[in-house]
Amino acid sequence: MNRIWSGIKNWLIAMGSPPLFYRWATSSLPWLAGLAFLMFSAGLIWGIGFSPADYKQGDVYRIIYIHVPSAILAESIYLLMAVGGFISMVWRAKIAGMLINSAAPLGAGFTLVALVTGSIWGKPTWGTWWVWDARLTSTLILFFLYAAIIGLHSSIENKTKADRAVSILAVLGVVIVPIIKKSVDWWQTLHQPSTFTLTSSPSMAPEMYLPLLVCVLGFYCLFVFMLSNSLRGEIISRERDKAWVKKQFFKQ
Amino acid sequence: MLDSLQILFLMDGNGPYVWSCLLILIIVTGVNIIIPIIRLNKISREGNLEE
Repeated sequence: MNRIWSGIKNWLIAMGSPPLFYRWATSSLPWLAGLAFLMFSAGLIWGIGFSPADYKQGDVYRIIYIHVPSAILAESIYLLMAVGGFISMVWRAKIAGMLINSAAPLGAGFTLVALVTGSIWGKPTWGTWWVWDARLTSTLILFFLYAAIIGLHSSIENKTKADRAVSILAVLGVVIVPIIKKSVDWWQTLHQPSTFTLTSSPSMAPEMYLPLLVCVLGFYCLFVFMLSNSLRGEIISRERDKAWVKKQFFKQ
Repeated sequence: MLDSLQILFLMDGNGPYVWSCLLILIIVTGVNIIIPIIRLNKISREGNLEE
């Protein structure tokens, strides 16, 4: 067991080096793309095409297979960015700053999907596109946080200073994640309680829950692929004057 | 076959809600995949020109 942990630790330390990460991402990208496409399409086809209709909401509940995984990713990506921000502030690891900058647009995208699909789902079920409900409002704040991180990073020319500034914002802003998670318990909301909880068994039927689980895994696979794809560009863009980039990337 | 496809598409009148959500997901995900590829190709072109 100790050998496995030390192996994982060594691999993570190695991935902190931009050239090594770039090499790993380049070789793994086709596999990651294949796995992401397979899991993502399997979950969506199973959920939207083959799971039974809900006895109350009918077919419109199928939006859950897009909305819930997007919302889970929106929060998970922010947590990852906060961890990256902490690593960047404490150990000054260059890759952590690059990770925040690459993950922020992806997180903003998934938050936008969660907000828009939630709004579309709200119309036939609640009778309105939007309410200033605690869950919706806190998710909107998360979207603004992502936008602030993207804007702040692009407004500072010195990338080391930009990394430091967004790291602080990412770490401070992480307080929004537990607020979103607990908003349905702390305040009276129109939004239903969390679909996934670690403490209780799912309230959905297995025929509906299993495709949702596959969808969530598929979205995570898709995110790993998208992040590796985006980080490659970020690494090359920042290290373009380094000898290894000139040797490996240019004149291919 | 066509009937079952039509049932899937219409979903008792809820089809437009479900399919528009899927379309939004595909567009946002597609943009987030394509932009880094375009960026990398641009850097590659500029770099090779400089070389």
